Amino acid sequence: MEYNHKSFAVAGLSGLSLAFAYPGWDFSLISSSTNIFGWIVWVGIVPLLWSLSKATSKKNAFLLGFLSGFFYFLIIFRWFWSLHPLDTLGIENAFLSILIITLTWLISSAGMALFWGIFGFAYSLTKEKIQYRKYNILLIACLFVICEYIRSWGFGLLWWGSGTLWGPHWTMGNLAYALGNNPLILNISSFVGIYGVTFLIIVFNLLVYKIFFNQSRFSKIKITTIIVLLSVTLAPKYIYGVINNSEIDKEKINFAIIQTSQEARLLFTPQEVVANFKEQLELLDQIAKQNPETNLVIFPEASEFFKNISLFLDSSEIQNYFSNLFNKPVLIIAGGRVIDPDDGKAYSRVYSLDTHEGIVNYYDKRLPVPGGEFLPYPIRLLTSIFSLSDTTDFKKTRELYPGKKEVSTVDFRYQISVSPIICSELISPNLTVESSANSDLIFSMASYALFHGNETIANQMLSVTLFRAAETKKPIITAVNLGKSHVIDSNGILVLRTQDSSSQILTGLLSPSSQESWYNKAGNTPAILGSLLLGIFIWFSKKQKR
Amino acid sequence: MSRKLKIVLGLLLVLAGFLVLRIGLYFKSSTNSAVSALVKGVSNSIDSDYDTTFIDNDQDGILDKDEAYYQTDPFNPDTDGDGYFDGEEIASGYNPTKKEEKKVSGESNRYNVTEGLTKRLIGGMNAGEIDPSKGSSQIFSQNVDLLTLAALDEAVAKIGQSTKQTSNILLTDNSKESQEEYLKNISKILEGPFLSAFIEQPQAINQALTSSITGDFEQSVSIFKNYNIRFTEAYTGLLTIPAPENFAEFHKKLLNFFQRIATEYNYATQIEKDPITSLTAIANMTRFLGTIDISIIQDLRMIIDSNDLVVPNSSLFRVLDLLNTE
Repeated sequence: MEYNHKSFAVAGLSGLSLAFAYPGWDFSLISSSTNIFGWIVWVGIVPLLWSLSKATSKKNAFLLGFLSGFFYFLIIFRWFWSLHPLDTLGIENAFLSILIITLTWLISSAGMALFWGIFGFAYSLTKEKIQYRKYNILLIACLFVICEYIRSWGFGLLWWGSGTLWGPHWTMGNLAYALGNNPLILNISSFVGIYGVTFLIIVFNLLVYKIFFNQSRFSKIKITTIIVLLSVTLAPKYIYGVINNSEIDKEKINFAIIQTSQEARLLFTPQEVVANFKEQLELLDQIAKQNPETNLVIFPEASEFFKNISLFLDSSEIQNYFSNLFNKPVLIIAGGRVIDPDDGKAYSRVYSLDTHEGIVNYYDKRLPVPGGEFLPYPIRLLTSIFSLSDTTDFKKTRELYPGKKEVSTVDFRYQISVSPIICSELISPNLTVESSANSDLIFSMASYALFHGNETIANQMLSVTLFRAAETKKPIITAVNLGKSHVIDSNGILVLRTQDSSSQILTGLLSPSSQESWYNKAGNTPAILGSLLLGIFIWFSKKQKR
Repeated sequence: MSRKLKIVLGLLLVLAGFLVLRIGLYFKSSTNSAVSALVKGVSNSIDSDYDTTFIDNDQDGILDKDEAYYQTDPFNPDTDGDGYFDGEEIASGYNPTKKEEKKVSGESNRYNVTEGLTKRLIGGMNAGEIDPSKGSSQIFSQNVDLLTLAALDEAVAKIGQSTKQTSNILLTDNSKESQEEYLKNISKILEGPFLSAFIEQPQAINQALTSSITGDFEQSVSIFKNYNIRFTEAYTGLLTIPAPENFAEFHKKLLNFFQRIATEYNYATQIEKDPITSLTAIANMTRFLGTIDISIIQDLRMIIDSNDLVVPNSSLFRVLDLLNTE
C-alpha cells in the first residue's frame, strides 16, 4: 500500500485542531468564556477532508479518518490521567494504576476513532462512486452524522459490562459540544439536537474545503449557504437576541446548591463520615440562615446525606430538625449508594424529600460509568490476570446496576415539577429527555472526586449540560462535589457558577420552564432518520452530467 | 505490508503478550494486598487515622498504651498462656495475668448449637419421630420448626450468658476540669469505634457474609475477628479512663455497649463451625446497630448541658449541636 505521509500529517493536524476546539481547556486567564476557541470546529475538519481527497485507497481513507480521530480522542480524553492514582478504586500500586489507565485511555480513544475511520472509508466510497452527483456535500455530512450516532452506541459496546445500559448514550466528543458558548447554535439544538448541529458543522467545513481546495465554482446556493452559516458562527448573540425576544416573566423559585469538596475513598473512616456530614449540616444551616425563602436544596452526587442523618435521628426527629431549620416546606434532594432489599443490587439512588411530607420520590441512576461504577467485561478479564479476587471486591464496594425507573418527576406542592439526573447521564440526550418529561426544571448532581477534581472533564461536562438545557428548554441546576456547581437557564445559557471547587453554597432565583421543545417531542429521530434518508436519496440519485 | 514485516510484528505481539502476563503476575501480589487492605482497612483505618496511640501490636484487644495498666505483655496476646486473649479475659471479668478456671465469652459454652440441631434432627428421623414419609407434611414441618426454634433459643441464651454488666470502673473527682478532661478522652472513642460500630456495620457484615457464601470462611472470620479485637480494645481502653461521678452511669453504659458488640462479633467468628450461633449474633447486631444508640448520646448531652461543660472541638459534638432540635 502506498502511504502519503503528508496526508497522514494533515489528518493528524485535523484531529489536533478539533481537540483544541473541544471544551475542557482552561482559558480563565484570558477569558470568562468556557470555550473561546470552539469556533475552530467550523474549519477543523477541512484538513481531514483534504487528506481524504488524497487517499490512495479505501483502506488508506479509513486509516486517515482513524488517525485523525485517534489524535482527537486521545487529547479530549486526557482526563483519564486524572484518575491516577487508582487507590480510590482499590488499586494501590502506582505502576499498575498507570498501566490500567494507559490501556483504557488508548483503547477508548482507538475505539472511538474507529468510527471516524469508518467515516473516512465511507467518504472514499462517495468519492469513487458518486463523485459527480449533486449535493455530494450533504451526503458526506449525512455519513458523518450517522457515524457519530453509531459511535454513541459504540462506547457502551466497547466497555460492555453488567451495568451497561444499551442505547445511543455516550455522546462525548461530539463536535457540537465545542459550540456550547454559541447561543444561536444552542437554540438550533432545541429543534434538531446535537446531531443536527453536527450536520451543520460538517456542511460548513465541506463548503470551506470546496472554496479553498476544489475547483468548483461559487454557485448562488453555496454563497447563500456560506452567508447563513457565517452569520450563525460569527453573529450568534445578535441573532439570538432577535429569536429570544419573547421572554416572559415567570414565577421564580429560590434554589440552593450545597457544593462539597469531599475526596473519593474506597471506604470512609467513621471520622471522615462524621466530618463530611458536619460540613453538609453547616452548609444547610448557612442556607437556612442566609436564604430562609429557599424552596429547593440540592446536594451533590453520592452525598449520603439522608443515610447519615438517619444514623443520628429517627424519622420524627428528622422532621423536627427540618421544621426548625426552615419555616416552610422545602424540597431537599440528596442521594448515595443503596442496596435495594428487593433484588439485592446496588444503585446510585437520589431521594426527593419534602421536609413536611418525608420522602416523596426516588430515582436510580440509569447510566453507570464503566470502570468507575461497574467493571466492563474486558477490564474484568484483564484484572482476572492480576487477581481473581479483585473483581469480587470491586463488586462489593463500588459496583452499581442501572436503575429501572425512567421518570421520577416530583411535583412539589404545585409550585414546580423537578426531574433528577445524575452526573454522567447528562451525556445522554435520550436519557435527559426521558427523565425530564413533564418537568419545569432538571436538577443534576455530580462528583469529580474519582477524577481528583479534574477541571478538564468538569468543563467538558459543563458544555454537555449547556446543550441538554437548550435541547430540552429546561433550566438545569447542578450540584457538584469537588468541582464548580452551576445553573443554566432554559436557553442553555450559563447564569451562575461558583468561583472555585471549595465547599460552599450557591443560592439564587431561577425561572422554571414548562415549555416543551421540538427536541423534547421528537428527540434525535429527525436528525438521524433525516440523515439516513437524505443519504440514501443522494446515493441513489442520478449522476450529474459533467 | 511485506511478509517479513508481518512476521516481525507477529513476534513482537507474542512478546508483548508474554510481557503483559509477566507484569500481571508481578503485580498480582500487590493487587491482592490492596484487596486485603480493602477488607481489613475498615478496622486498620480506625486506629491509624485518629490517634497513633491507638495501636495494639499483639492484637489481643488491649491497646499498647493500656498494657502497662493491666500489667500484661504488649507483645504477647496471651500473657498468662491459658489459651485466652488478654482482652477477652478482661472483657469477661477475668485476670489476664493469672491462669484461672475461666468461662470466656464465645469460648465458655463450647456446645455447638448447629451440631446439636443436626444430631437431634438425625436422631428424630432415626427414631421415626421426624419422618417426612409418615403422617402429614404439616406435622413434619412443625416438628422441624420446633427443633429449629429450640436451637435458636439455645443460641440466644449462649450469647446472652457471655455478656455481664460492668460494675467496676475507675472514678475521679467531679470538678469541671475532670469532666472536661473526661470528655476529651472519650470523644476519640466515640468518633472512632463507637461510630464505626454503626457506620461500618452493614458493609462489614455484608462483606463477611458474602465471603462465607462463596466459601471463603477465612476472610469472613478475619473480618469478624478484626471487629471483635477493635471493640475489645475500645472496652479495655475505656476501663483505664477514670470517669467523674457525673459520668459514671454513662461510662458503664458505654462499656456495656462495647462489651456486647465485642461479644457478638466474637460469636460471629464461628460462622463455619457453628453457623446458627454465628447468624444469631449477626442478626442481633443488625437490629442493635441499625441506628446510632441515641440514648448514649442523649445521656451525654444532658450531662454536658446540666453542668455547662465546654465540649471538645470534634466533628461529632458539632454534629450533635447542629442536629439539636430542642
